[in-house]
Amino acid sequence: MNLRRLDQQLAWPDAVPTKELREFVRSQLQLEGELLRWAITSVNQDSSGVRWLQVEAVVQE
Amino acid sequence: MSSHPQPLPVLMVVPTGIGCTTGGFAGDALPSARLLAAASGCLITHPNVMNGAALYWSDDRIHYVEGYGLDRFAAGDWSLRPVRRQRIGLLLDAGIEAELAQRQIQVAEGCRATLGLEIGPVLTTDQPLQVSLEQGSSGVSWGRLGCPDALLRGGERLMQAGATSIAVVARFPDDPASDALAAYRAGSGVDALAGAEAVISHLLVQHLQIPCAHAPALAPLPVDPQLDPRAAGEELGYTFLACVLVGLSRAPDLVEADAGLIHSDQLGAVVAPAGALGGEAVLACLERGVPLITVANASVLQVTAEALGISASVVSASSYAEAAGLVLALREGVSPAALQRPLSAMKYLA
Repeated sequence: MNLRRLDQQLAWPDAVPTKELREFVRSQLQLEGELLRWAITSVNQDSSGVRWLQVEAVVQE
Repeated sequence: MSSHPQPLPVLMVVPTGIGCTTGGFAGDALPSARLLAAASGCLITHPNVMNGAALYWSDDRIHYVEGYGLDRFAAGDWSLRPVRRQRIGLLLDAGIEAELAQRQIQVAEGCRATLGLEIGPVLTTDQPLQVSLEQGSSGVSWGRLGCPDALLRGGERLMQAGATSIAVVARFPDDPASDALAAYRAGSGVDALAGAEAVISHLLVQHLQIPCAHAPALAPLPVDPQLDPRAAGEELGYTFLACVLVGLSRAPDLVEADAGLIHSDQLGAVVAPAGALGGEAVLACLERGVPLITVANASVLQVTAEALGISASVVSASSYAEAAGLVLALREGVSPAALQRPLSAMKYLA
């Protein structure tokens, strides 16, 4: 097993309410490996109104 | 109403390695946890809140649940089953020098002799764990293991030998001259070790589904006359292990969702730093409609209720003392809104 650290941005779709944010982030990060630990570490909105989540995580490969 | 209302299970989260003003040091959120436990009658929290290295506190109302287990509990995947005692296996990293390893073993012996804890067996990993420290773009501390399989093999052997929980001690890199350590000891910045510690304990709990917690092994530091009191718990001895052993000694079992006595659907509130709402446990509570009390507790993060678009559904507290009052109000069935002025207007349906 290897542990890999992720530090990436995810666009937060308008269709995903905050109540579904955990499942949304998990579904995106699970593409990278089995999730061990993660957190949203910032939320920003760009000039076009798109919301971006900065997500940091450790996954197993 | 009875003068002794039923306990109101409350989850307290102070994320590890984000530099919280309260809880970012050596168990310095413990007084807040004690107050929240008194207000709620049942507090579920994690080692970062409770571990003060040589300092600790034991309270039947506080349930010590490692972060991975806490996330699974909050998500409703696991539940908690309180126990009278755990048998704590001690796993030592093969990378720890003999004298430093002996210090760890003597702490375990002291906890057996003086506190009556059941500790053993002791096992050394079959390879050094090779801990490395990292920092994310946000400033949060993270870390990795070069040999995670050695950690899991050791945990499995201890469990097979009868351990019902595991305290793991890994050798962490010494860096006594670093700016980060100097800032931490002076009472600012992020605990550079905390992220890697969380990765180690998360990995064991994920793999074994039993209570586990971690203490780092480090060479002693020179005396610092300007040491911040919040970091002082880590400079009272040669190890950070005593608090872990005490915490694990009565940590609840982590069982499947329908097998425990404490379930996340019983949670009456989750209490978290106002800028650190992006962790899995808090998001899981939001998902399940658990009332969220945010506390002014500065860190390197700004994942606030406003950023998440949930300001209207959050109760804000300016301190943990205020949060404890809000928890007590919830436990007593008093609406927190009734304690605010001006009193908000009632809503009318059209």
